[in-house]
Amino acid sequence: MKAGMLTSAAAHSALIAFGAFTITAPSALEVADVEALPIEIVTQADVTRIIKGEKDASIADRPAPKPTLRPQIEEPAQFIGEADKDISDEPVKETAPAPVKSAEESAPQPAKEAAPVSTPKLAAEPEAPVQVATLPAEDEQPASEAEPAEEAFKLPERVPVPKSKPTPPKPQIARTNERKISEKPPAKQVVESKKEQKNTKDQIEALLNKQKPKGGGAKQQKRVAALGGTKTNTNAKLSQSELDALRGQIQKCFSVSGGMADAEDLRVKVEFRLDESGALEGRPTVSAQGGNKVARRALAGSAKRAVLRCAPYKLPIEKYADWAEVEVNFSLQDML
Amino acid sequence: MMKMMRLSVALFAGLMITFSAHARVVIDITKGNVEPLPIAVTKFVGQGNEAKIAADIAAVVEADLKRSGLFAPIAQAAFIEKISNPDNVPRFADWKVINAQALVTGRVRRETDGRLRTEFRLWDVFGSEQITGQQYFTNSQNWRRVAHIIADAIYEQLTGEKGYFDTRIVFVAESGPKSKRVKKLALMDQDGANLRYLTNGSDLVLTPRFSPNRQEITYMSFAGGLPRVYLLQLETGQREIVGNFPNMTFSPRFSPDGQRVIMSLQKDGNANIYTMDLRSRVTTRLTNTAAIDTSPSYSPNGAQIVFESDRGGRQQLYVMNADGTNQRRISFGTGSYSTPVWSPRGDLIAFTKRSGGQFLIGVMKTDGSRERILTEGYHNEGPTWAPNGRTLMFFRETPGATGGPKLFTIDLTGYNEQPVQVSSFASDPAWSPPLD
Repeated sequence: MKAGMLTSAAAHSALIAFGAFTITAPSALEVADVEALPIEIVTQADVTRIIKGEKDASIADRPAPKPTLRPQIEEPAQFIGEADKDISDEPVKETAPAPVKSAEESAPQPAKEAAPVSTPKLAAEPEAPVQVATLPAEDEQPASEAEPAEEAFKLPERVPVPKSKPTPPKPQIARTNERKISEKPPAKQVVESKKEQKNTKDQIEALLNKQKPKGGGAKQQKRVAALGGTKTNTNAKLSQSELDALRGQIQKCFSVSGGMADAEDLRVKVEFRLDESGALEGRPTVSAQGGNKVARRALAGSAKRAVLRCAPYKLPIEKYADWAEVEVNFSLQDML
Repeated sequence: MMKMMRLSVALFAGLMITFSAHARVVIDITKGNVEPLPIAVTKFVGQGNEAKIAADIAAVVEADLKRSGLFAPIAQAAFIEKISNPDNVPRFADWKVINAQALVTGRVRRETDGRLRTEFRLWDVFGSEQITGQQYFTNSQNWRRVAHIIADAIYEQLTGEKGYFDTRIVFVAESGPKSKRVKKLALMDQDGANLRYLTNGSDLVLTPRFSPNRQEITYMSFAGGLPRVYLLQLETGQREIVGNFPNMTFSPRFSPDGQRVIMSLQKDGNANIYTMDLRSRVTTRLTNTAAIDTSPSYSPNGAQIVFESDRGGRQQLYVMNADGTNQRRISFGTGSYSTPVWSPRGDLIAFTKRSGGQFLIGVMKTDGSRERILTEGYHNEGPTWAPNGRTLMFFRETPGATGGPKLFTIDLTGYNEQPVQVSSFASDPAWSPPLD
């Protein structure tokens, strides 16, 4: 017995001693040193106060991309304002051949004829622009000289025109602007652009003021209300749950007979004002449309009774300004 | 200066209007509460001999409204105000307290010429205004009809649909043991009152149907041994056979204009559908199949006919044009379909369906879609529409030696099943059009 006790005590002591030296405490969880997340508490009302847009909002203007595509019309006026280059006929020569060539090529003529014969034609063509330049005069416009000068001017001024310098703008200025309006051939503009240089700064500014709206680039966008859904809680400051509660209060009192005939397009609108206690102020205004006369009258009666019977309404007093006026649209859409 | 002032005032007013418009709460309610409308029907005021009739009229009005399932009359004991003069505006607050949404008051007086003058007013309690008010002159014997007419007016004002209380039912009254039933044609008001028998029960009668515009019925009778279709004038009792056919004719029904009778004519084990013009007596065959085509029923505009046929091996519903063209099957559910009846509204077809060992009453759209079962049980059959297309009547037979058929009404929505109080067993009901 004693020996057993001793053996047991020794064995337990050895075990405890072994454990004390070998089994260590579990390592602590490492916590990363992270900054606390900033959390902002918002109310349900704030979340549900979503701008759904207005049901009757006009369709928002889309940016007008067309004007920016206009460059494809033609690009001959690149050298407007640069007198040296303008004087030379080179650009005219360059631009004119292209269309003519293509026209010739499309003709069902054999290739060998086209090659030699077409080139002289091309040479002859460049003269055409000169004739075109005189066309305005044939239009019997009085002051045929003065007007082209103005039109030619418009083109350069389109860019951030230097106020101080009367120097004509650089090549990129002319681009597509106004050309559509003037319909003048590039050659003419080139010729008349020489006169610009004589104009004073004041004249340029005066012309600037007359200038028509920009033709290129996207239109200036305005913030317009988006088209909304059918749930018209636009601008309502009441939260969705508060609106649902009001709907529930009225619906509870809206007694109708299911399966009514000709009820598909029946609509009854009841408008009323509430005082701060939620009670009705005055009598509700009822208007009905759709269905037959009897059904219309009956549903209008039911709707009015519902509104009268369930008043006063329980609504948050602090938002009285938002529910002082109520419009309820009754229908049986979900009962058909 | 003044102009500027005016302009600024106008601008300010415009701004305020815009502001107030923005503050409006707009909500949509697209369904309502289908619970019965609480209504208070007060005892009509009457002096002397008219007091009882006045009370009876109010009671019939109340019973009609209650039976429709759309109204919940409030017990007289709950009334706070006692109406002594129906010409005075009632104290609406007293009626609001007991939650009456509508209030009916009335009076019965005897005119100097002996006629009964019955007035009633229907009030909107919460709107605090009169909805309608009418008066009727009639003989004392017609007081029940006056009550039904008043109930119709109230029903129409509050539900938006025509009432059906001033109507009658023709049916087959059955008596005696099941093995040897005596079947008589019977006529009663839709509430079971004013019952009278049209035949003496010596011959078996089946499927009576009302004319849409005359006091006349058509039915099938075994008088003379051979089943034949008959016409019966209700006022004179005059009876005649429709057509002179060598074989049996059955399941007759009038066309919507009352000018024709459509029915089945049996030949060589098959039955086809025929119409007969009641004036010229010209008969036209509409179907021609080696099957049993029967139970034809016109659409309200008379352009189409629904009927049952087993041409596909099993009884199913078919629709065809009134001239017999464009025959097409419309029922495709499990089981078999029979006794189709086109709704007076034109939008639904009621039928009997046999499925799973039971007989069900249901409705479907006229193209066979949206089938709905309204009631089911051991044996339900023979639906007939109330003239407003809102309520159906049918008969339900109970099993066993003591069992028999009884009449029931049910709302189109499947709610409000009500027994019709008839002293005997009753089957094959047919609803009359509104009485003129």
